[in-house]
Amino acid sequence: MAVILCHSPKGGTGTTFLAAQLALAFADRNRDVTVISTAMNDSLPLHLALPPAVTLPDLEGQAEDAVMVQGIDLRNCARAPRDPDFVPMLQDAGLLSPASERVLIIDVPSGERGLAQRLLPFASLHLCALTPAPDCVALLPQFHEELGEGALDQTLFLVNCLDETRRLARHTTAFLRELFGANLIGRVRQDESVVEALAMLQTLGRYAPSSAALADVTEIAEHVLLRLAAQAELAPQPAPAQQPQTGDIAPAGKSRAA
Amino acid sequence: MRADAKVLLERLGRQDFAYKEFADRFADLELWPIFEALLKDQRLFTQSRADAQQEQPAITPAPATADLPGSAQVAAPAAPAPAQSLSSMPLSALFARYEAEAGNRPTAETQNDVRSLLRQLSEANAKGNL
Ligand SMILES: Nc1ncnc2c1ncn2[C@@H]1O[C@H](COP(=O)(O)OP(=O)(O)OP(=O)(O)O)[C@@H](O)[C@H]1O
Ligand SMILES: [Mg+2]
Repeated sequence: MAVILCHSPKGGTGTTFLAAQLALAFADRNRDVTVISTAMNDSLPLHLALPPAVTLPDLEGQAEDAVMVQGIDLRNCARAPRDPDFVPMLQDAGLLSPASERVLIIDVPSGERGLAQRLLPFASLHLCALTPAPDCVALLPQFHEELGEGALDQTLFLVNCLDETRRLARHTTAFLRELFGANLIGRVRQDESVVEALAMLQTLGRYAPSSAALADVTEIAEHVLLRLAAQAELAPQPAPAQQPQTGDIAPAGKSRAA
Repeated sequence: MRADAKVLLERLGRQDFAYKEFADRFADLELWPIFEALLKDQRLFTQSRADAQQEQPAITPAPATADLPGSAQVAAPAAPAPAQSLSSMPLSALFARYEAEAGNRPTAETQNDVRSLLRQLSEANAKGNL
């Protein structure tokens, strides 16, 4: 159904947190979800309440090695940034097919810009978490340039770790809102319960169901689902049943063809 | 958070609360030099660079500003619409939005004034739109 690329110009802005929370929100709404982390030092399991002893199986791992959390299929592919076969492998697995009912979320660490570039043409959406801080926004021009012309058409931004009591954070958020307009889809407040949940080995929804960060990230997940639904309506696609499972797989970013 | 507010929230059983005490201080929203530097960075504004190459000044008079969408409210997901992306938006249009929103017809002078952007932002805040 959709490929969501989670990638940010800066490390530590909440990309993995976002990938995990989106997956949980989608699974909660009965979507089939796969999350692939491409990080060497992977914190995705922890964000899904798994203890540090758990490592995620490779993309091509055996079915019996699968790690599932609330129905979410969790994978790691730390070699992806250096593996030219990564994208073809996703294609072979049918994960990039528009006919796939699955939502695929790919967590690409900030340093792996090349991998993000390779995945962008197949992504329905690129979600970019920014912190409202100068060292994050200062990277935006380079980010824009490296992702290339038109890349931002598919990019939705959000401000994470917002502390509204901080003047600079407020100003930066207002600036980003003006810069990105409707492509800035929301903000997630800084919330101690995010890290407390990790320490409790619980999901945020279980540990702090009424937390500010959970409410914010749930709104973002709903917004993303609306965008995906709107995209699906716009896309001139044959009915899924008539779509071959393998074969020609067109990049999702149709508008980028020009 | 002030103690009395905290107690009240606890009594209401609410942790999810955008604390409002600081909101009015938006009035002194400033143009930090980093924002100014970013607004001038050609890499962020591909389209305006393209405009500039077509023998136009980097900041051109705005097109029909009435057609431009208003700025998004953060965390208020609207009906999904094809968003106007940064790359397809000339720099001038970015500035023109504030002028249009404040009900002023943009003049060449105000468009070129990055500080007017911030003034409009603080006016929007005063009206509670931020
Ligand atoms: N809204 C929030 N409030 C408080 N803490 C948060 C929030 N979002 C994320 N964090 C915490 O910030 C830290 C960094 O988040 P995360 O691991 O998601 O960042 P990342 O962008 O994936 O980093 P990296 O680039 O290293 O992969 C984590 O400990 C996470 O729990
Ligand atoms: Mg990460």
